Amino acid sequence: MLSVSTGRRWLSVAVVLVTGLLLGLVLVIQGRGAQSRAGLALPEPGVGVLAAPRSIPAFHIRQAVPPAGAASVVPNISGRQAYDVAQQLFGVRSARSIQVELSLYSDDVFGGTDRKNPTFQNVLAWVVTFHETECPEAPAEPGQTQPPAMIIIAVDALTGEFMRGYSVCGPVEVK
Amino acid sequence: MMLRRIGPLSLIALLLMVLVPTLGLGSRARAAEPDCGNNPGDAARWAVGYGSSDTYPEFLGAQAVNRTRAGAVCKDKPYSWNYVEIIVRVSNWYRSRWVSAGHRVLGHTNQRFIWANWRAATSGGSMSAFGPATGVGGLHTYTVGWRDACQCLVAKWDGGDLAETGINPYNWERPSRVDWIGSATYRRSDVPGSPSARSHFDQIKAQRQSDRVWIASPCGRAGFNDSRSKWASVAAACDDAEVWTYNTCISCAGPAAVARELPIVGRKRR
Repeated sequence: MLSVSTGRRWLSVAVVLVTGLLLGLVLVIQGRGAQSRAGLALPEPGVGVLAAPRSIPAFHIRQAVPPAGAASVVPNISGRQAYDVAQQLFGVRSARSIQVELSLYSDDVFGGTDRKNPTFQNVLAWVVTFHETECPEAPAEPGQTQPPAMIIIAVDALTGEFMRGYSVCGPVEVK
Repeated sequence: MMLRRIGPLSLIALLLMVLVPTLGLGSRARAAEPDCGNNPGDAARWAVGYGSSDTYPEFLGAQAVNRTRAGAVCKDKPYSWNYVEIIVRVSNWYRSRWVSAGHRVLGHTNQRFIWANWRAATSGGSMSAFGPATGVGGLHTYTVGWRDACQCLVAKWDGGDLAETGINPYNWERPSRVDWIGSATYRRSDVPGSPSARSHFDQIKAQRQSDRVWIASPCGRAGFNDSRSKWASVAAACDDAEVWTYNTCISCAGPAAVARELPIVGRKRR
């Protein structure tokens, strides 16, 4: 037979244990919530100058290597600042890798008509590219899963203004 | 000693007071909050417009004028890409391939974009093009239409191109459908607009396939779709229609009340 005082001691121990378990549960849930809000860890963006010309025909965008040493190709904002602009707008939360490259950016469609007078031609821009990120579109039908996406965001390197953003869920040809 | 003074029951009660709000167990009692849902597949879409049918000629273009509206946007959603949008859209018969143009608000950053989206193949992913922000109150024309030069559908914003998609609608499952849509990626919340400042599709037009002439949408039918199967009840509308949500406590009201509270009204003018 347990005495009354022994019973109270066990009750106290049980209460402490349950309290600990519940507090642990709360901390775990709060931790997961914070992780969810923050998203998956983002790698540090790699910042540099475009090494070779690149284009994405599906989007009609082209990037050229800026001529070295010319005064006209000195950016007013850093690659990191351009990355911050992109993130302030789009809030990308996960990616396998991130490139931030200085280039002469052309969009042969946007703002024009029939490919005439497009808004951006050979603009010195930081182009921020998120590789293998979450597709920014809801699935076409409930229950479908979306393939990983590439997101491209062009920021004017002189003014710091957002120019254009593109996303593609699934593969896309990059030349 | 402390435990004896407080008492185990008091301690448990104290814990429950902390836990209940922490776990959100009381959230159903909240009113006037967007229902963010927990699955991007539950995206809600409110649609006005009409698809091609035996009644109407076949179309390959859609256009509308829309004034950019603000609206409550769900910010705390498990799906990280969280948006509301107003679009015009042309799609194949199964609505598995499409081109759309409109404007979109990203909930998690509260940023507003002009936006085009297209999907060339049923099995493939979609592509999007985002342009600089469109301010609340601005009046803009959004168009998806045929262009001879590329033999494809283009998405336009006012007079300028948003995207040239390379998609030839003559190669997809016809007849094509045209829609004017307000949608959100979560279960229920505002599309851009509110009861007092509704998102308004005006001058709704469709491009006739036979001669590629733009004609006004006929009046007489209006409807909305608000189900898990997004496209279950797309209906016809006039050339002037509105879409908005009341943003009320849906989970409290129940499905029948939901249908009454979320109207899309097509206003007959002719």
